[in-house]
Amino acid sequence: MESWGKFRRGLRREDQEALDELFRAARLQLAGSAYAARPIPFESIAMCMLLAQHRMIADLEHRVKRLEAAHDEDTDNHRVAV
Amino acid sequence: MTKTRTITGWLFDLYPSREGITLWLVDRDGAKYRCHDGFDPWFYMHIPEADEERVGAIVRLFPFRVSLDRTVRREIYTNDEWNVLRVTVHDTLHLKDVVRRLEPHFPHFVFFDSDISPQQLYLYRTGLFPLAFAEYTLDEEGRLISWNLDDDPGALEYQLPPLVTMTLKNVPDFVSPKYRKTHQLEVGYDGRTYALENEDPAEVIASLNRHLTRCDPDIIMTEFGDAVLLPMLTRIAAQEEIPLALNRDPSAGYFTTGETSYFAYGKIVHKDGAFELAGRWHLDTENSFMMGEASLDGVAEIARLTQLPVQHQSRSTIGSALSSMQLSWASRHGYLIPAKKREPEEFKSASTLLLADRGGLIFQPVMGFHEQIAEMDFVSMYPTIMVRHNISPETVNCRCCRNRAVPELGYTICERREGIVPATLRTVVSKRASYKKMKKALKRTGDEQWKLYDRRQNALKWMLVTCFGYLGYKNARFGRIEAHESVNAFSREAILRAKEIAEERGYRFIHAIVDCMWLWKEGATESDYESLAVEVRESVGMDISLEGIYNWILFPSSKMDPRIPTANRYVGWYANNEIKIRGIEVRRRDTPVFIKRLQGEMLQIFGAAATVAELEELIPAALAKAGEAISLLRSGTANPLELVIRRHLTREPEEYTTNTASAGAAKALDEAGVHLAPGEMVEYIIVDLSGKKKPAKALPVPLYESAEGYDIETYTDMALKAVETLLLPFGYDVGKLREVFGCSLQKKKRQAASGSEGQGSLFDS
Repeated sequence: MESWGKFRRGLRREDQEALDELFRAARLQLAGSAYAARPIPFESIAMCMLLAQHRMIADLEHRVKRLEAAHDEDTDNHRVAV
Repeated sequence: MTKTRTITGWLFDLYPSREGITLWLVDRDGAKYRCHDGFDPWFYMHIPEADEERVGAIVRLFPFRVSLDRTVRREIYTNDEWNVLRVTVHDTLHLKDVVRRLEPHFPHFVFFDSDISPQQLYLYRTGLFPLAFAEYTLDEEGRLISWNLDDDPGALEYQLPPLVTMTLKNVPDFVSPKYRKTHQLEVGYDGRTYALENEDPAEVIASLNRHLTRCDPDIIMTEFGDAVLLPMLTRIAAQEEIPLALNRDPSAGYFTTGETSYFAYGKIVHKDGAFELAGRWHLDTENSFMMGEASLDGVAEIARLTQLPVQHQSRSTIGSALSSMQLSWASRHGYLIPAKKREPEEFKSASTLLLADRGGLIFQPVMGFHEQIAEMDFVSMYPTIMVRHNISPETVNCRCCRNRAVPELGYTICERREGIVPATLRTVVSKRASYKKMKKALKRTGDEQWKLYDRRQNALKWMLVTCFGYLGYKNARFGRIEAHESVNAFSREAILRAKEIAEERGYRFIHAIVDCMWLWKEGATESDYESLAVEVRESVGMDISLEGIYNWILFPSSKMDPRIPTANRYVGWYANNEIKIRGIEVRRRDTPVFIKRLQGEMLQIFGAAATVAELEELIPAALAKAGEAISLLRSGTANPLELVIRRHLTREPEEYTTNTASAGAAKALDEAGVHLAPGEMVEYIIVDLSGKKKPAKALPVPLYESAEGYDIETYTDMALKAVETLLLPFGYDVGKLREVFGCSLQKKKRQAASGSEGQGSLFDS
């Protein structure tokens, strides 16, 4: 993580925060990285970041679908009322 | 025809003497018998016959007899027979001298069995053990000629002799005697205590002697007896030229060793030197890991099992207890015991190194409060792996087999012989399991028998907890890093298998640390988890048990970064109304009592909650409780003794370059003439962490006066953080708590009492 210090320094504040968030994601998956013990640790770190991204997208999709469903129901109800 | 007599009783104490080994027996009535046995200890040297004359030339210089002969013993790693020179020393008191004289002339790896005390060698070679119950037969000169053992170190039901205990301590209790210069003694026995106070030291010694004669204790229990009390008493007695009757055997001396500081598990540990008695046990509750953890029953259990004499055992690290079992086993099986560790790590390719150099697996917890979580633990995971898979330094990558039995790493484990580590651990594992079963069968009545089994199993537990570390420890006699790595590989395999099984059954894997896991499944009951345990047991081949189901459990966030979780910090209430706490303030040794109580009281309030929703309703009550404590703290009238911080020193006081509170306190003590070594505890009260208002940031307890007050802001911050640990998931961070308790930083200037005006330097960063 320290080795990305220069990279981080060259980012805008809001991007720095996003980068920190990504590295935080990597720290949530200790077991996978430890068990795989890949020769280039960054591979595991990058995979953890991708995983976190994917999980977040999936969660958001799920929420969007739920909200859409609720919204459709709402408008349906509205129509009936009209 | 000589007359003999038989004593039915216990082996109480033994030590080297002019007669060989002196032994003390105790019978059922508590009567003591001194006897002796001729014993000529020996050790081995693996040197060619051509070099024998060099040994002969050296040992001939001794005024006692040392004899040499050749014999055949096995070398443990290769299992080869070696032709070795046996050096027999016909004087137990001088075994060490002979070894020391020879050592400079030969490389250390030619010595075997040479650094073990004569009394241990005697026990290994006779099969006797401390507190062994037998019919001992003595001749009329007091020589032990035979015994008929009615006892076994593996026995689960055994009795201890009736023993008389005397407590001996310095008063007053408040300051540990290490820091003190005046001496008053307190002697306790038969339910009474006597204060020995006199200006004249000779009078103190004389009256202590009177008490020793009247009480005739078997055990002298002290606090800091090793480091301070007994050395001081013997010194005074010598100055006053009064013989001090601490020993039951007046012809024997005291057995003492120097103090040491050493590294263990990444932490500096300090041990005071030993002060052992002859014919009596001196047990120092402050210098004994075992006395603290498991009490006398535990000490006795370990001494019997490991054949380490009680006084020695109570002071030794758990590692030496295990090591003693291994030495005894090696001795019984004709193996040479290397004097010093000499097995180097084998060459490993880079990729093996990567795969090998890892510990157990940790799955970070899902942060925050949860309900209906079950915790399941593998029972004694590491020792069980060693026993089950025969993992030992000499069995991993042996020369005779080829099976790549170790997962991930592909190391081979010997199938032909049982390793020394599993062979000795097996007894410990099975004894502990039996005690636990016996305890369970008694139900939780809290009666004496239940407590006895519990103390014994607890003592064994500590042996099992540490056994793993010693496998890879470079100074362990029988340790090798590949064995250590193999155990880890099996452990990772086990927890992953358990995870897979649980997930297949629809459980969510909330958290796992090496050998325990936290699971959740909607509506799962105790019997669901029990059947999961059965499945895991069958698949993995190791016992896993349901620790319990939590009404609620909190996995707090990291102190460094509130957005990430940390492993091994949690608190929760089980449905059976028991609380389990790991790593948070109330459990930490360095937390002041005041803060511990504050957090403890909040947890007590939350104990009434069966669900997280109920817990949330209890927050106002818990906050009110915390508020009371915080306003007391901020009024400056909290008891400073409850604000004492205890820290282990990590280096010599003068080596500290940074000006931390503990460094300052240690240096202040040093200047006052009390030297603390690394690993020792320094106790202090923070008076001004900013260092701006007062000359010292913190004062060590012995130099503290209540007029000094305490650093209100620093302690307030500690208190707020302890509250935050519990309530952050509900949005209460330190900032919000300041609002709640009305102690925001702007108001800090207005404080009363003797306390320093806090500068809040902790908050500045």
